[in-house]
Amino acid sequence: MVINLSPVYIENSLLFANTLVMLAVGLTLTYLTTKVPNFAHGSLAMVGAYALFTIAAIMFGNQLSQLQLAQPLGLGFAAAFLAGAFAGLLEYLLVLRPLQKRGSTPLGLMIATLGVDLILLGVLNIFADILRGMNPVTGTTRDWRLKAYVIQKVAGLSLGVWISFGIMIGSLVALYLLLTRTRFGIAMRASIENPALAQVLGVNVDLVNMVSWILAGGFAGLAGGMMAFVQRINPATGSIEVVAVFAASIVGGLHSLLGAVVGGYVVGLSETLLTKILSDITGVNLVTYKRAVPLIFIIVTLLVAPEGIMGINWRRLFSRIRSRK
Amino acid sequence: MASLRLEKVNAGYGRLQILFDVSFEVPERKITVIVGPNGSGKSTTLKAIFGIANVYSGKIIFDGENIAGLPPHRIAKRGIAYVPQTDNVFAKLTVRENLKMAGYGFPEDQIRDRVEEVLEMFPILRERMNQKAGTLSGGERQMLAIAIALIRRPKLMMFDEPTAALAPKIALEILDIIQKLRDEHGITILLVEQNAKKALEIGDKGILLVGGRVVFEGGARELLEHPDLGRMYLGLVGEEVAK
Ligand SMILES: Nc1ncnc2c1ncn2[C@@H]1O[C@H](COP(=O)(O)OP(=O)(O)OP(=O)(O)O)[C@@H](O)[C@H]1O
Ligand SMILES: [Mg+2]
Repeated sequence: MVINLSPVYIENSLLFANTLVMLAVGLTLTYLTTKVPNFAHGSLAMVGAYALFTIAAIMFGNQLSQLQLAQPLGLGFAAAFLAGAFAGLLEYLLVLRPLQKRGSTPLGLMIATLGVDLILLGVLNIFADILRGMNPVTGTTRDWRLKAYVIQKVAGLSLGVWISFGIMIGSLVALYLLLTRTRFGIAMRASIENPALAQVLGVNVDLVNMVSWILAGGFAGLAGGMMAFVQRINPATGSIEVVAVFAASIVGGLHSLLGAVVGGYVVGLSETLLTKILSDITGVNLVTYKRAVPLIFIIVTLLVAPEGIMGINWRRLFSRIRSRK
Repeated sequence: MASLRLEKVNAGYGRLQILFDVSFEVPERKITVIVGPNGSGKSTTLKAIFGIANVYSGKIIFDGENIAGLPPHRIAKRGIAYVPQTDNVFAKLTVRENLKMAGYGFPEDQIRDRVEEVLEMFPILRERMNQKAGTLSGGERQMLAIAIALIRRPKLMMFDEPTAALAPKIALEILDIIQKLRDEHGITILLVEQNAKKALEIGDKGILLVGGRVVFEGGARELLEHPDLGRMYLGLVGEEVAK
């Protein structure tokens, strides 16, 4: 009954949680503005992942020098953001907006996002095959990862952890500043709260929606690139991880960007660290079942606290617990 | 002179047509009242003018230019304000934040001056500045909604049933404010009212809408005192009109 957590395991858990945070924030953002739960969100991340892969493949060439990482990774993540943002914008402009204009129900829109997910899966698979012929760096464009490139230690932590935290914190701070300090951000918050009234006050709600899809897609693209630091990437990886992303957003209450951040950590660390700790304590290999953790979170949250963690009145809960003693 | 003119406007939602060849004029610096039975398309008329409902054909001339087909945020910038019947304040924001949001697009110092101006009109709001708009009373809320619209200094203000669900005394207060907007601020008013009698009494011009068509356009008094129309469509009883 020894808890055996290696630093690498902890690092990987944090990396995973960071990607969930990035993805959950985007999912919540588009849900807030366009009221659509986007089931293609995971595949938007894969669009970013393959953009990063393409840049890395071209720039690393066959002889990889770890000393010259900054340029390909910097460019790769920029490409990941742009590709994800572009795909997100297209999803909104070509599929969701026309359907909304025709008066589709939320259910219809949700199913349409499943359709988008299938299309993205197809496109990503075709792309993976083309890329393979173009530049066989690793011999395959499936099951690839970038872990080896970012494993070296910088100030005690692996480079990947630094990059991942840097991208996540940078993105969240930028989003926070946009929403609170800029005129457009205030307009975004106004149209999240009451789109009809925001419009009346001269806010271009359609532009707000487009920007939210650009940001959500861009964040997803970055997250896809970050995923390659911990796990093997396939065109379908995003469609699988989207369950955990939904869990994170739902735990966060779906109505709160801060909730999505908290939810990302709660779900991400539970899936990785908690299952490992419980396995070590109980002696049962629970890590095998870690895929069930997001589902458990979704069910429990919807049953017990449908408004998510941000909707719970913690102070009242604590005082009730205290008075019971 | 007409501030706003509708010419044979056909409009609706998606494929569902609600307005049929609607034409009327809204004279400058006057109160024009649209009355009609439930579901006759009064709200839809305002939404069509503001670019929220779909306009299939016809012209909406404001300040000499056709604004039909423009998106709402562009129409707002041309000087038309619209106070919807429901959800007309940001419920989760404080009164102060609501007023600030209302000045979206204006420079900071200008917003401050204008907020000060509307607070002078609605002193009660000054005491509620840090309160969430959702917690205001019905009347206060309606005043905030009007204040929000006023910050943009519109030339034309459209109200959708501003007195609905208000106590009679408060309702009169709101209608009083609307009169003041015309008399002291020279704002053109287009008013949709359930309470036809009260509204036509303060109005200059009356329009009766039935089944998405204009049945009457003329003086407000004339509509109020019309021998048939009032009884048929507006629930005005004979003696009440005579009073
Ligand atoms: N968003 C919408 N989508 C589809 N139909 C709508 C929509 N809004 C209103 N309608 C329909 O349009 C018709 C006219 O509605 P409208 O709200 O313009 O009537 P109104 O004269 O304002 O009625 P009331 O006095 O009840 O407010 C109604 O039959 C209504 O069901
Ligand atoms: Mg109405």
